[in-house]
Amino acid sequence: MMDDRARALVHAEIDGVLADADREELDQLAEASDEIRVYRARMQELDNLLTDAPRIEPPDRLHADIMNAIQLPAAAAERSNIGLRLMPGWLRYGVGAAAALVLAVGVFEYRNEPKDAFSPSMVSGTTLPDVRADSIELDQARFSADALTSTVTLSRRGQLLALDVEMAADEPVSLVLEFAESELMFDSMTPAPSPPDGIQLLGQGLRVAASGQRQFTILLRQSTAEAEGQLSLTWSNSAGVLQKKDFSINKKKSQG
Amino acid sequence: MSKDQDAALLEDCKRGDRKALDSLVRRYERQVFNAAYRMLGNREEAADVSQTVFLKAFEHLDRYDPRHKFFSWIYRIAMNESINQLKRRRPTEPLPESAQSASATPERELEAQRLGEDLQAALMQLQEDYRAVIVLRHFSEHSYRQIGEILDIPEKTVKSRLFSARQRMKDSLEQMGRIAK
Repeated sequence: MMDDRARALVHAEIDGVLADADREELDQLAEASDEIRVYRARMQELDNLLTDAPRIEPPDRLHADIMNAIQLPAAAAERSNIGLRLMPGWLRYGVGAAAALVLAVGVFEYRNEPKDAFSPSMVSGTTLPDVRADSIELDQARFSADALTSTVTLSRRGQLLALDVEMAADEPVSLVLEFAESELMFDSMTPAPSPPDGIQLLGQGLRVAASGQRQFTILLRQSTAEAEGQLSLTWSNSAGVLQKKDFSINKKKSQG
Repeated sequence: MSKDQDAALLEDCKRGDRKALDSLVRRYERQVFNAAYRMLGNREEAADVSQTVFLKAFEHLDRYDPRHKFFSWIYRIAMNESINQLKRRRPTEPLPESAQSASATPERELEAQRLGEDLQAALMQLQEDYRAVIVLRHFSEHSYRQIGEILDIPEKTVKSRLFSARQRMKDSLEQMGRIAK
């Protein structure tokens, strides 16, 4: 039966922390015991297999997704606005018009590319058509608690599903939408008076981060037009889950 | 990257410098993704977890203790998020995927792929705490001390978990014929 000392020496050797004197001791122990010799050989085989295992390349979009999901403190934005405030009025107007044009072109490009995570600042204040007139309300949830007040309305707008979110929260909250069973995917954001701070695409869902008073609309697309299913919505903050709600899709209005 | 360099970049991040953020993310994203992949055995989930790790790290920069290394902190979040993701999995969810496509792969690559799958399968048979020490030691190449810091356990516990985890992996790989019995 192999003792703990021999086992510890074998593992220290694998981890590259075996002192010369200890190596001599291990060599002697291995010479005297078939069990230790075999154990040492098998552990080295295992180490070789683990060392040779390929490192997996992350998806190409991972870096961009991470960068788009992270909002740094507003200090930098504050600094950049100082310059804008110091400009003469006519120049501020020109800068604003140019920014609007860039934004509109950017949104057009964005709408025509496959999407992953992004910062809502890339798409807010855009020229996307407002199709609210064709809206058919499917479901609505109202939450009212100390930490969060919100109204979330699910509607069908043409080929898309729209989630209109109005919220007020004292501290940062996150809204997680899970649509694993609904064959849904994120489509876009509509022009928003007060967009969220960040959006992160999950494998089969979406996480939205926001605080304060916000109003925005998330458009979702169904991979199967007549699919039925549920869209789960969870509000949470640093203290934990605040509210949960399941929305029914392609069904009559459900119990709130 | 040294602790001082990370600390300087973090200070720049706190001032809203996205170039510093870009540098830090580039430095650690591949390592975090690989650690998450080895814990989860699924690329898509590993990418989600990686994104969440950085998001949480930078959302809570104020909680970061600069006496510790940034990578220890970020690995700790990665391990916790990976374990949370494993707990969120439904019992009926399929087994971990293969890391690569099997189509039109030359023989040697195919064998390497099969070996990789067997290794991942052996990893997935381990309890999460055993898997974590193997991932941190063999795939992320951390020392006993660093693993202890990341997992918040004594070095002695790191060693004993490594011994047991390796023994179990060896047994699994023997069963698969990857290691001689």
